[in-house]
Amino acid sequence: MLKVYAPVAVAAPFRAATRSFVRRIPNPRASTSTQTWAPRPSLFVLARTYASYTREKPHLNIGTIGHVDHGKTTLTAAITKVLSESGGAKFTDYAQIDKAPEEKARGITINSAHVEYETPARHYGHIDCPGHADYIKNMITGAAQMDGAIIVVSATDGQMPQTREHLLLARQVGIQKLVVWVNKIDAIDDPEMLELVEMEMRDLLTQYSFDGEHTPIIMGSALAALEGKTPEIGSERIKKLVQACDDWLELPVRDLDKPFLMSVEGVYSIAGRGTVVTGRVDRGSITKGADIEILGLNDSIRTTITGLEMFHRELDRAEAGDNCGALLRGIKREQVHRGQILTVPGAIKAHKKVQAQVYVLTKDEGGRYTPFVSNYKPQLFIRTADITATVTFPEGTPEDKMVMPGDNVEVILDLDKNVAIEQGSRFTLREGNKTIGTGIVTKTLD
Amino acid sequence: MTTRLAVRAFAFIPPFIRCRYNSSDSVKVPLELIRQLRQHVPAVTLPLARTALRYSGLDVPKAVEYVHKFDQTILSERPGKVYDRAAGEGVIAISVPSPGLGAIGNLVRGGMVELNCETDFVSRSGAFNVLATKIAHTVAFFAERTPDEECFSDFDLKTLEDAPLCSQTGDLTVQAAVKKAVSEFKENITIRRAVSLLVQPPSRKYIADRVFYAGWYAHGSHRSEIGETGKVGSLLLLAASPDQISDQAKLIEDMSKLSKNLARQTTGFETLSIRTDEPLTDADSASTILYHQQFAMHGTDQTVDDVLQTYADKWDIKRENGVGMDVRDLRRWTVGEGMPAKVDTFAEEVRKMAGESP
Ligand SMILES: Nc1nc2c(ncn2[C@@H]2O[C@H](COP(=O)(O)OP(=O)(O)OP(=O)(O)O)[C@@H](O)[C@H]2O)c(=O)[nH]1
Ligand SMILES: [Mg+2]
Repeated sequence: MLKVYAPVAVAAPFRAATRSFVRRIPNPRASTSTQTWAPRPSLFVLARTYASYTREKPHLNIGTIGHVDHGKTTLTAAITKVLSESGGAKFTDYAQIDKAPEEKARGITINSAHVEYETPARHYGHIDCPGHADYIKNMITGAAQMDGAIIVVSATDGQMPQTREHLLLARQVGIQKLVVWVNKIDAIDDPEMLELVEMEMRDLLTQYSFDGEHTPIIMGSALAALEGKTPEIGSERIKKLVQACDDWLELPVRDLDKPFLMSVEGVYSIAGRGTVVTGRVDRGSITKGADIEILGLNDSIRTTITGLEMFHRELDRAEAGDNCGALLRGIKREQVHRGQILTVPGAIKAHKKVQAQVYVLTKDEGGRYTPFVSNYKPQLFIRTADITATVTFPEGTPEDKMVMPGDNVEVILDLDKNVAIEQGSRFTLREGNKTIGTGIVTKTLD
Repeated sequence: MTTRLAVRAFAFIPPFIRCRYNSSDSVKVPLELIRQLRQHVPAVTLPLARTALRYSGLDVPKAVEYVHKFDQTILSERPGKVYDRAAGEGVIAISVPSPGLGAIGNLVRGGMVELNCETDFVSRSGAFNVLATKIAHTVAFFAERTPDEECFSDFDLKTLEDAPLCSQTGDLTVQAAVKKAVSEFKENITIRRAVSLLVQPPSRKYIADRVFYAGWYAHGSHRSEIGETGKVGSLLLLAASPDQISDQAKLIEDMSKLSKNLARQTTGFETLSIRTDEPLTDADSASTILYHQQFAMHGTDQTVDDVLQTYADKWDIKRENGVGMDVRDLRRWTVGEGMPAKVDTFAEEVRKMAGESP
């Protein structure tokens, strides 16, 4: 049936930043030609969470945004109800909806209960979005994400002054497409009113660079649908809305479909074979014999993967979620370092300067007690890399800007060494042993 | 259930409009005219804009008048249901029209308020921040000397509501302005607290001090000529007792810089008190006692106390018992502090709703 997830509070160190495995240095004397290193048993568990890659239906996270009382909760309840009644769809039981559960920022109080449902075409994870700051925090930490959104507007009020802020939020978090639900049409018996609401919304969407002309605007009564009354404006319209979500909102690219990227955890020299790099494939897939690039920490080398191994087995192919070892042709052990990545040549670039959205942890979340100002220098952790960063603010920021624990802030990060990083990359900021912030790259600069 | 909903939806439409609200035989109102009307009165809602234009025969200036008349009606109405809802978001707004030394009469006059609303979508909007700043300005403007001449005094909220809103053309009271905002944003908006800062030298209360300067800082992004707003705000009084003032311009420069940085410090660092007579401890930087803190916002490793001493030395002032070159009092407010934290009950609500329905 309907799956509902309650908010959870977790207080463990960030695993994304501290992940370390394959510490066991192979014993050359014991090594045979077929197996040379052995990962920890816990890796099997890690690999298993990626069973989600074999889901039958594609998954999309959506959220409802809108004015208080315009009917966000009623609409969500109506959707779940109508879908469960329409036969084909069932509420499916998934333990995790986030793309990379182990990347989820831990140590932060996650405040994002969600609802899941299923249409004939897709699975949806559905969150509410009652505030800007809360959502931005959840988005940055990876606790909640919207790939698309339903903007809820009551026909009795039309667009409100704060509707602009709703659209700004959607823009800020990179949502490309929206669906509009004009609610409470049962309380309006003048169709012209609805026409006006629609025209106004199209206008506003265009102003905020959404596709105002083609964005689906569905009108109905969430309450009627929920109460099973007047299906013409109730359940029928909910079905139209769901169809519009299926048709109009685009699926995010799955990690598996992205170009190959593997972070380097360890580098070993195996007598008689060469250099083996171990790590986790973050995305994409690779086959034996492929040309790859070793990138980051100011070095870039091209080579070929001559062998792939996983759990004492030789493989022809490794894919996102796998922990494996890659044998590299003609590379000396000193040439590769933890913190670099292996990738398809040209698929991702290394940068020294990025713009990012950062959430700064409060002291209750294990973060700083005090504010910081421009030129603050924490360590940036991304995948297995650990780099000193200098924090400044985008142009136009007042000079006396300070950042307090609990803030969401847009920053410029100047990195000591370059690292493979791109728009959407997640990272953490640390100070000594303490995680003080978590961020997501919004733009690469140098 | 249905009647309750109807009442809710129509809560803000006065009777004389309500009767025409659902009529379908009325004239068609071109969107272009609604746009024009909204240029004159930006926050007018769609239903109201349409009704106003219909009643005035599609004449924009007449419709503007109609909207103003409607505003009056709203203001005379009893507070609606919206006022029952929790308002835990909002801003702290500070306005200091006269900072002290160098101003007319060397007067210190400032005000700080907490204006609440329900969501931070509203508290981020320009109009809400402007309203908050204007209310803070009003507090500063109407602040009066109290019998004991205490620099800070809580401003009575009833008095504030009845005061005319400062920097506002027309005669809108603070209460009317808030009500108007409620009708535009359709969120509960309330003034939670207000404090004024007033020192008129020479002061009977701060008899040892000759010069005063206000420091203020709001941690947020909205600043205007009349004040600033943010999620955390501080307002404080810096006082000094130089025997003679060799260079007043230089003293003003020092005091304004110092008081600004002190206010940034008290905003950024959780500050619960100014000083104690206990010796300084090791845990200086994490202290909630201002004078123990490392004065990071002044760009130094020294404590706040040490920096004040440096300035006192520079101006040949002897500091004693928190008088000389010292913070005499301060207020630090955070939006929503002391209110119950909100919890996300969305999934739970959805389940209940979906389950309960027939
Ligand atoms: N007439 C009518 N009322 C509706 C409709 N949908 C919701 N309502 C009512 O509007 C009110 C608010 O609905 P909610 O679903 O709680 O609204 P919300 O947007 O989730 O509100 P917040 O969570 O407080 O922001 C409730 O009294 C609902 O019964 C509808 O289609 N028609
Ligand atoms: Mg709700």
